[in-house]
Amino acid sequence: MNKTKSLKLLISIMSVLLCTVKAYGYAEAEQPISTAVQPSVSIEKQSTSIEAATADAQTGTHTGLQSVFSIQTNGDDEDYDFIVTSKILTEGGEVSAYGNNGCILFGNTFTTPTAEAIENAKNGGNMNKNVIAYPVTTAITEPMTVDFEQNYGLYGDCYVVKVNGSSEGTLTHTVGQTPVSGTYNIGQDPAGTYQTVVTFTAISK
Amino acid sequence: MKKSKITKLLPVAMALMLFCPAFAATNKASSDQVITVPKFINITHDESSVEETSASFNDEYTTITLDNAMNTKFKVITNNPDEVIKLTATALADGGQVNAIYGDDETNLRLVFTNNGTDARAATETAVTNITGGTAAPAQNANAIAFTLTPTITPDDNSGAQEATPTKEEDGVKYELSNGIYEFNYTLAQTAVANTFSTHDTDGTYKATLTMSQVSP
Repeated sequence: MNKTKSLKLLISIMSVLLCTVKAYGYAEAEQPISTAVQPSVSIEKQSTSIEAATADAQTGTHTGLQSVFSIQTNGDDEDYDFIVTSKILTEGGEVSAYGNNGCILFGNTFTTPTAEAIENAKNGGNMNKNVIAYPVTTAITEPMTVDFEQNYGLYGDCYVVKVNGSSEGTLTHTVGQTPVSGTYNIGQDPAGTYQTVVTFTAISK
Repeated sequence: MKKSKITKLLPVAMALMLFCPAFAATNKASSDQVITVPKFINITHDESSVEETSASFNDEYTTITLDNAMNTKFKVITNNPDEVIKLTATALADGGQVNAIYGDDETNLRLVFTNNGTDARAATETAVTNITGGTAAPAQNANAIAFTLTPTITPDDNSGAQEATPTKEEDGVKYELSNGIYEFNYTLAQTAVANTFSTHDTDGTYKATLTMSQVSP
């Protein structure tokens, strides 16, 4: 009999407690929560990128290269500069690989080109030892846009992406297969590997 | 007091959850683009080479003069800055091909021609080595005649080619090249090397073959 009383008492206490908790929980849920969601961005290189190609030694024509990047952001063009840059290694360090005529330069990794050779290739000349230039094209998912800009602020020669309110898209940077005339020469460009690096960056304003 | 703590913690936890994607995101990605240009070499025989002529003799048949100045040209195109090629020469003797080039150094070369006839008109290997050994004796080099061979190597400056580096070897000349375009021109003297022409050299067609080839890496 005592056991039964104790059990009933315990159930009563637990019920009261549960009811109490329920009452508190309801009250707290009504309190306003204020959180500022900061703009963020995610840029990833996609597996559809083609980063290695072989060239015909007589013509310099290669088998095809492209860099594919995805971008996701809750920010806007007011929050970020979305910039595509390229770099090539020279005797004096890294410089932009974009030329003045819609091309991108590749430099010999064993014998790095001189600054003079780089400038010559950027201007479509034919005295550019250890440098090969190829045409470049870019495309991005609409309504985003991408356009080449020369000497664009701090970034120099680059492609500028505008997201135009969109939250995600895909940027494709394609290197044409045929060298720019005068930039591939069997005597000036020895066998070996030629490299350039393409980077897509979002810089917070 | 407990209620107050829970009230404060909840927004903080929710805020952290909201910020987590931002912490994991990357705002930069790079793509290394690499083109491999394989090694290339193309050695061609220039069709402008003069490789056939008749000959005339003095009344005593002690000197031979080729009617035309003969020459052989090779064009070499390579993108290998460490390319090595070699000039060799052969002539028919004892039914097979034997070494037919010799000389003091890489610029003073001589080429042995042998009669391609048979029996009394055929050359022996001994006859050829009598000449290439450097102590030619007319009676011991029947049906073999040597002429001076002068090389002229012209790198095409516009192609980026540098001066070739020659090295004389026992059976030819090795050339180290940089990448670019070269012309190799070998001019044959019109009179024979001393003691290699005599009445031991029968009538017929005399022939030597020059070959330019890449040396295996």
